[in-house]
Amino acid sequence: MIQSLTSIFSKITKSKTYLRPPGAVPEDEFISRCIKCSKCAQVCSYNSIKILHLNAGKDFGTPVIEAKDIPCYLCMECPRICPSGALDNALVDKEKVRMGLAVIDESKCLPFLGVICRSCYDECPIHRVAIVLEDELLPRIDAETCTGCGICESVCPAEEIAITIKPLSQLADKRK
Amino acid sequence: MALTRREFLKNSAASAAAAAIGVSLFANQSVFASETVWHKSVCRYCGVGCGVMLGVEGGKPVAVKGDTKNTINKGLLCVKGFYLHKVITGKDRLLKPLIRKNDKLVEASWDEAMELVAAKFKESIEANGPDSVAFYGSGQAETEETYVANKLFKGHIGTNNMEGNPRLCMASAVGGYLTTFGADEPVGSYDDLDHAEMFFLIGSNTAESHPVLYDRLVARKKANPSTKIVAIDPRKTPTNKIIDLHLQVKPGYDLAVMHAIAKVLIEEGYTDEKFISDSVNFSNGKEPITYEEYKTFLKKFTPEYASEQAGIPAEDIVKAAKLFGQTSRVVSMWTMGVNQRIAGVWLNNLIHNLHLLTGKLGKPGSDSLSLTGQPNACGGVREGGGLCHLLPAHRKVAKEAHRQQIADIWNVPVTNIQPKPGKHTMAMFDAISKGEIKNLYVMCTNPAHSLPNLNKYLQGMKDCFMVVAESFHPTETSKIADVVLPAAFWGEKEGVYGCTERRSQYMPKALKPQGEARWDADILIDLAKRLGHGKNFEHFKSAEDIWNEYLKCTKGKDMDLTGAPYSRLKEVRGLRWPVPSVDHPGTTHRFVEGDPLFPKDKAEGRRMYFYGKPDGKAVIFARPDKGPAEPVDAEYPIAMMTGRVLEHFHTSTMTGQVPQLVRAVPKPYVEVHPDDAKKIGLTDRGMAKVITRRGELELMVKLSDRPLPGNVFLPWHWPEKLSNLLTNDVFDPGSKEPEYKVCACKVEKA
Amino acid sequence: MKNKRSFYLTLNRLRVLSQITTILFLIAVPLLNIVGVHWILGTLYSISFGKLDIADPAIVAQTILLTWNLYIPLLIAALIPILIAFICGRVFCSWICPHNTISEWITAFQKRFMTKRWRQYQKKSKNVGIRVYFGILATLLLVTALFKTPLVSYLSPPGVISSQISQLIRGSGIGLELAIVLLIFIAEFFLFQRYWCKLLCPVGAMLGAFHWKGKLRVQFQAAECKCGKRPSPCQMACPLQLEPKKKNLYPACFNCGLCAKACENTGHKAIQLTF
Ligand code: SF4
Ligand code: SF4
Ligand code: SF4
Ligand code: SF4
Ligand code: SF4
Repeated sequence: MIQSLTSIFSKITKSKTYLRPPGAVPEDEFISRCIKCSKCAQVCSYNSIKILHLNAGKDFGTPVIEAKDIPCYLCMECPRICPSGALDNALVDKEKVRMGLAVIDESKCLPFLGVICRSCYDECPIHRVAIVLEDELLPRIDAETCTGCGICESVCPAEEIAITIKPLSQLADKRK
Repeated sequence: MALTRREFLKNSAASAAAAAIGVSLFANQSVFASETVWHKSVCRYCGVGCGVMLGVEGGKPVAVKGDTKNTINKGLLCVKGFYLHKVITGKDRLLKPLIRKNDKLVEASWDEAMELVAAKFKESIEANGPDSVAFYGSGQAETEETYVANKLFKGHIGTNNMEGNPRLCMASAVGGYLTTFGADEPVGSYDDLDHAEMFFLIGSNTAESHPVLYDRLVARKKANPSTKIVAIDPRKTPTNKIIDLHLQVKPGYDLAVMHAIAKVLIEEGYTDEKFISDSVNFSNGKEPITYEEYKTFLKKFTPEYASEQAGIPAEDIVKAAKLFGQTSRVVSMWTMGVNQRIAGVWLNNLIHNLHLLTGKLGKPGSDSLSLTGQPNACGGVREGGGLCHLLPAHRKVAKEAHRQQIADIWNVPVTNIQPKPGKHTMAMFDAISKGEIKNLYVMCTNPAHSLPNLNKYLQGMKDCFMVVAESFHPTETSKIADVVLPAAFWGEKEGVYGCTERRSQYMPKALKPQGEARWDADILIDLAKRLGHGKNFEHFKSAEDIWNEYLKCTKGKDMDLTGAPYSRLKEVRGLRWPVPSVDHPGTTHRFVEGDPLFPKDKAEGRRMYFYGKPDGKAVIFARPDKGPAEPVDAEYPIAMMTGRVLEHFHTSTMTGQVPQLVRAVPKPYVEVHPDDAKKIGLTDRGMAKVITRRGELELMVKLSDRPLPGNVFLPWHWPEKLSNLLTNDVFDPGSKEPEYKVCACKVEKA
Repeated sequence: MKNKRSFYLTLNRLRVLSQITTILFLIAVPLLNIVGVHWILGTLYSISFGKLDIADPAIVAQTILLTWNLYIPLLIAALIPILIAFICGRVFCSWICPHNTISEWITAFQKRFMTKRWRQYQKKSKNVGIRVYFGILATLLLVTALFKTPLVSYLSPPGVISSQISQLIRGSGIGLELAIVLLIFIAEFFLFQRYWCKLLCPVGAMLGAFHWKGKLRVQFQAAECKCGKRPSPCQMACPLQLEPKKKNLYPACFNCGLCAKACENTGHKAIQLTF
């Protein structure tokens, strides 16, 4: 009874899956752990992290990254200062970050339309590894190494952004 | 519901088209509405000269796609070209003439603006003579536009102060071609790219500056995996992705390397002695020397010496030389890293040297190919004669006969054309600063952004009476102009562009100009009439009329375009001169059999006859090596390099109109090596101050291993942070092209 | 001692100074962060000075309930507030909490401009029973645990206010959560009763829980009391409208010492804030 109430409640209050800062534990646990202190947002020099307002419902107070506006530049400042363990304090290597996964919509991506574009490839911090170019033209994501930082999403010049980040919470194989 | 990382990617790739290079591009044509009318045209941006199709719907530009029938790009475009239609309707399009009143630019009628311009020019010419006015044009203007300007200024106003921005980009290449081969522009063509077995890239970030050509290299390498690519570049660029050997030289110290390669070629016996004796002379730049003397000259340039100069391993130099020698077909390509240098012409010579020594020239797959930065630097300005010492169709003002020929076509007395070259670009802006030139007409370019060491020249531009004909406002130049005339943009006017490979291509008028914008040639004809020279311009009723008169100039010249009237150009994807007649297919290789100008009789069995030289022999130059004009020192210990990125073009007046391109590379930055950053205390995306003897800039830092430690790199696109406040305005004494590419700076934490 | 007589006056001055400093501090932190100073971070949910983390015990309790797990660094972070509460009671509320500060300002405004009505209400002082007080806290925590909803986070006015300040300064604007705090202010404005801090606030209640039998307290010595009038000055002075002279003052009292100051003002020493 309580269980079903809980699930109804969370259905009402939760509508979106968010991209969380690097080192975030799986979404459910993250929501419970994060004490909404804003420290991660404050420590981020790039203003990548925004704190959700109550307007966003249940997730109020938790940090999110809107990669298309300001992605995470993987400076690795925020995980270590999180007081609650919502972000893994031990995470220091940017290569190990797994916030999500970049996914390319090939119906929008310019090289698939015969237009040379390498913006995502050039800016990817896991340079030449997380995105590789097939025939030096078509971008392909490497699922094992992509950090989900969203830098690619922030620069993509396709008419409609062709590369977007699926947040960790949408992936079955969570963090490794 | 949730998928694993791998599954996610697989799912999304299910739609993948087999879009290998040049295949099934735009498979999904249905994205375009069926009412879209497509006009065959040429890309407005770089010197590659990609064929594009401009899609128009209801009188509005709606899309641009690659022209699959164009052999240059086979349907491929780079991201800049793809968004060209958005530039046409860009937010900064200037729609009405502006004139300066009480130190403010205010809208005016065309008549008012043109009357003012004409009155000012008349006044100055009458009071101070014709050399008190000047014209500064562009490698992005159409050939027709440059031709009209040339005719007006050199032939009617009577001043040779008629320059164009190719002085800042291609002048050294011109100097190289003229001194070595006796004739400007490449010997071969892009066709060689599909046959080459080695590419030698010098000072060229092909992947970003000539992206479609880069893709042709990729395609070549894919088709023929043994193809080798060797690069000489002070910076690791995106081009590095496909190169096999990178000689990462210290900025400005590559001349010795070229000599060392030549020396190895000779010593290892890779030379083509028959070709040398048939078709090559030697010179030290002042007088002819012998082959033996040349060899003696090279003694000093051991790989070890060059390695010390350039800071690269001697073995790599030997390796590069051997590859060059062993591979039967080599294409060398270079751009601004070679041209924008104090020894630009010399370095051009030294590249040609390698091809002349080995005879790797004038045959499929071998060429010494200078890549052009602008879409019509070759066509309009080099061929059209838009520089202070030139007349149309590779003629020189200094030559009496040339003046006579052109005066006849222009219907003016030969005395109208001064025999003395006018002021080259840097001298011209210097004279403007000194007040010697009082009126300046700027067409289709942005010198207040693009001149080096801007602090020195800006005041002069502000003080003189400056007219700017431009499609966009504000630009750095239009902001300080006295009159700004709204010019029709690409797609709103017809004309011809001539790209890197001597190919002239036709562009249609597919749209009405925005606002009150007018075609540049039309504005110039209007000015000619108001200055009282109307009668020789009246017959120009269309672009075709101008082109036809220009074709008369080219008849019988090395760049004969007689066979390329509009009627033919409209059908074909450009023609490569010489095309002496309408049934001639154009020329892929000059100076060899098959070139309509090849003099079989004189050649007497020689494979190549360089008919630009009296004896048909090209010249190998023994040029001294020379470092940058401003080497690093204790006070300014870091070498500053400048360049471009893929997503923006030059002063970003055009690419800045496209939100998507701005998004990709939104703001100015300086690339710093992490080692240097650590020493200076810089962080990624933090701020740094870059200081040279001429100015300083605060810029965002991008940590990158692209430059070597001790070097930094600045893209020059953004008006808010003008890298040209820092650059050095010393220029090559031969080509008068400034050394943008390297100067000394210091970098501090900001 | 010469100024013994003005001891509570001085203490209160310090208290007000602390309140104002807190607000300035909450504005300064995000500003410092923006200019690159990162050794000081946080809001009143949790704040850190260098490596030293301090966290609100109420939030920590909530986290334990939500995660059903003890995260040691977070427990450690709650130690300092717990220790202070253990010794001094809810001084966080009276010395630091911006919600109380603003409430006090509102009260001052009412005292000054709404004199008549205010006096009527002021007489209605009443203490709160322990069972009611902690009953409410327990209910809140129970709901939190059952519905897996971080209720304490929403209902922590100091947290909400401080994080709003930070968000606003960082350019993310204000959100609906501010409405919670505003609603409290508005309701209390018309009720003229500080029910929130006195009864409902989980942050204060949690701190009060650690005080309970603790040290610093308001002590009333009936023998010293010379004020016959009702309501007495000490009662009128209490910002929470408690009756300081009654035994069941705690856990609602947050040790601001204003009653002692009022008493001191009359020249007596019937009410003392002592260990
Ligand atoms: S630092 Fe940790 S606890 Fe604080 S808001 Fe960020 S994720 Fe939540
Ligand atoms: S890792 Fe750095 S850039 Fe990324 S969110 Fe954290 S603080 Fe911001
Ligand atoms: S692919 Fe995109 S999200 Fe993944 S690491 Fe690279 S830039 Fe970041
Ligand atoms: S930046 Fe966008 S359009 Fe360009 S290659 Fe990457 S995903 Fe495709
Ligand atoms: S490569 Fe050059 S010509 Fe081709 S589309 Fe790009 S900018 Fe235009």
